Amino acid sequence: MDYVSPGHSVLLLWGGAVSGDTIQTTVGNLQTKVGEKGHVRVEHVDRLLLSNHGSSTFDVVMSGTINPPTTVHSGDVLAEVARLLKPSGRAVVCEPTVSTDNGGTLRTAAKLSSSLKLAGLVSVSEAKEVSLSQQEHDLLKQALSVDGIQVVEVSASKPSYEVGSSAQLTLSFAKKKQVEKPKLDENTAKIWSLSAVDMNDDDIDLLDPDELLDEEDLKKPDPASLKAQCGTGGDTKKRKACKNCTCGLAEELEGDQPGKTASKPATSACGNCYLGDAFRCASCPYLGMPAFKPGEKITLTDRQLKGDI
Amino acid sequence: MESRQLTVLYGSQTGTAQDVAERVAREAKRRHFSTKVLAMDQYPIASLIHEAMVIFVCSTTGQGDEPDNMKVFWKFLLRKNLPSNSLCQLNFAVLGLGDSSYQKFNFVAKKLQKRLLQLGGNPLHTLGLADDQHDLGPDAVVDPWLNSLWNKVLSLYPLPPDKAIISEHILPPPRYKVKFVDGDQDSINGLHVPTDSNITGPSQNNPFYARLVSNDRITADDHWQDVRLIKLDVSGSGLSHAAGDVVMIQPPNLPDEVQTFIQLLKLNPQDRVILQQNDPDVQLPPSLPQPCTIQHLVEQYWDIHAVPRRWFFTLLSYFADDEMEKEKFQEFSTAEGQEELYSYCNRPRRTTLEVLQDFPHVINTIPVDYLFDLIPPIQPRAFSIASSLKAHPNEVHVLMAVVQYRTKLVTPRRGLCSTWLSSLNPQKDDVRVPMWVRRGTISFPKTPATPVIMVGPGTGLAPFRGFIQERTTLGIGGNVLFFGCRNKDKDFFCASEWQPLVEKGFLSLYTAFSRDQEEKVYVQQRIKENGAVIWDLIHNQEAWIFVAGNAKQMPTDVQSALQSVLMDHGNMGETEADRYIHSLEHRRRYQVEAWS
Repeated sequence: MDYVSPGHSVLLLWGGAVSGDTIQTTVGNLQTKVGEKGHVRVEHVDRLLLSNHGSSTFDVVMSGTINPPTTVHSGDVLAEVARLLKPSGRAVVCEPTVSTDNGGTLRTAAKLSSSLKLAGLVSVSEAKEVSLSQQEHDLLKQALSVDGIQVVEVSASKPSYEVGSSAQLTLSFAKKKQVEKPKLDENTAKIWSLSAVDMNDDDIDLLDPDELLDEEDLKKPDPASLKAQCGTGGDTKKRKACKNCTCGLAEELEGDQPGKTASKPATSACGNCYLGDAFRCASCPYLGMPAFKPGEKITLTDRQLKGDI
Repeated sequence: MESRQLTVLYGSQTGTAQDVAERVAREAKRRHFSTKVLAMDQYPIASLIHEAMVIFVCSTTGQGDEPDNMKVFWKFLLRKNLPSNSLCQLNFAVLGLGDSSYQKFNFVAKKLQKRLLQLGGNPLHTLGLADDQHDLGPDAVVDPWLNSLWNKVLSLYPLPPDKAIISEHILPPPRYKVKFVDGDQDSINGLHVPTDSNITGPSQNNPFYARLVSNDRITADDHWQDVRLIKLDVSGSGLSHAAGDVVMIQPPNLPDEVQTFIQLLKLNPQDRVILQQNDPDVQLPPSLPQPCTIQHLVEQYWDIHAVPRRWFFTLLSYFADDEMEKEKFQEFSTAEGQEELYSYCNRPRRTTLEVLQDFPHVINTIPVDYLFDLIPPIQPRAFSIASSLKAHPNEVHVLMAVVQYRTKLVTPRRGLCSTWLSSLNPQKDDVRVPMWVRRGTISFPKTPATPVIMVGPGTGLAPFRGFIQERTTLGIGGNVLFFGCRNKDKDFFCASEWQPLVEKGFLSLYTAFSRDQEEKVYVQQRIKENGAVIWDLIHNQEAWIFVAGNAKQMPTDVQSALQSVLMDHGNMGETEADRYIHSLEHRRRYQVEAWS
């Protein structure tokens, strides 16, 4: 319940063999956490799709977090959870899983994670095993009649942006009077449509397309008009230093080191080398190589050390 | 009452114009227009006369040519029999993407604008001519052009009183709704099985799975290039093809990259999803089964091998939590960041997968729904058919170079389709290749008496092998082939096939082996050397001339060789020879099919 902070709106979903007392205690605990300004709503997971909560209402939605969880969350339920969450809101889902997919009612933890993704949630956490008491374990086994159950907790976030809607417009305003276009001539329409029946008819006379052009069209733009203003991009081939550059390229480009430009070392200590090409200096010896993990040892081939010939 | 409909049509060779077209469509949606965006050749042209508003975006390729996916559309517009009031209902605007370092700067857009005017269309805006040579790239023109276009459009179609322009900082809704399917639930509501009952034969939505007959390397083992002759069995497909036609092949992703992508995004390959429409103007992809596994999507659908476009980064900027990554995505989304993006992505041909590997934080926060917006579907590849049904019934042959090269990146670049095809072993498995046939842009003369001059160096040979097979099987002569390659015994494709035809008098063969002697010899030299024969064929026997192959330099060189033949043997001046070639071209007696 680390995700819950004061002022939050929280939705708690329950289902299966959970006792009424446990729910009350959990709600009480949550209420204390969110404080006076927060809200806690409780809903049975099977009734979620029937209830009428508004979109983007909750900071946190928890489901199956009261032990022992018996609910396998359907795609529809997860999609609804995603809808109810505010942008950046967090869903915490506990579910009984099995370690290998046996085609039964339970799925693997990996499948649970991917269904969260498919519901539109992002930043899906690693599945964490939830420890149950022996009594809870027995209850679960009894309810589901499956061996080797592992209860896992996975959390995921709703993306931080608002998604635009694609609602169709109904237009009821009067159109501004515009210049009337002539009506399409019936014969013209007929000729056009008949022509289009055979797009590849080679026997029809074609215009010479070059005759469409006149003197004016042969002109090319004045080179002076092709320069960017305010000096941006004026020298498009200029070398670029990476962010936080410490290898000297940044200073060199700033012009702080006159005369020293030739003796730049081939290695770089800027700390960005391990990142992909998009973040490397223009003089980075690792250019062209995939990103690697910081600290990983990478050897350069002769070709790379020589650079461009 | 007119509805707020806006159509964006594009002609795009490298994807930039498509990217811009999609941007125009997004901006239209933010202004509450119902918007379609299509390649011109995908658009049902019969509807154009009923269209209220169309924005055209097109690029101009090398020699002033239109991109491949607008060729059919453009040829239709050029028909002389179209009445001059055809497009009187249409408000249109044309945005051209060009490069002023080329002679024919934005010719395609300029011609399109003129022709639409001739056909009675009403221009909404002056022609937009974006230039790659500008310091800020095409955006320097595109941004202000679009601004003033929207002003004009909104004055014709004002916003509804209760609506405002949706801010560009709001993430647009995903293209499709992605729904997860539980367990083995197959018969779910809205189950959609792709069927196209009223179509006549294999197509992109309904490819034929041809059996791979053979996949043989036809260059010497020690040759620098691996070129394959691939034979497909199309019996039972109902496919038929003529010389000059093109086979479309739909490749899957490469197995190692599929694996890496699934691990990187922590996807479960067995998960199954159903797509639902989320925008009335965006149809569900017809080629996808529903439900569909994540494995299938990664393997067959998402183009993780392609170089990502600008919108990919813009979209990722919405999802990024990590400050450094977010900042980089935002930089790549600006006009000022385009040179940086170009040298990071396009120049080294960095793949979508490789880019994702460079941004380890954002990959955890990409919602599955948006994968369809981030990663477009794998595009089919086109190959000239290199065989004739008359000579090889039920077969389609392809002459294909296996694409592999190096850029600044340490890992060599591989062509998706050719790497896949070349890895297939028909002896080992029953291998199937999803394919269909399209009409090519070149068409051969229908009269057998017409002699044909064919210039096809390298894999440019492909369409001519088919045509020569067709004619010689029927006992028709008058075939003149100019073939060029590096070495006679290394990459002289199908060498053994030609000798018998030459002996029977069906074929005249001129070869240029560029590296077999001190100075390099190319097909254009052979053309000049045999100027008298060629002049006689063209002038007295009304021969047709075809050129196919690599687009870089060869077609231009061949054309100037022809020009000097006309000057030397036909006593023409330079302009006269130029005009002569131009008129041959116009009567389709001179055709060029070039690819890169």
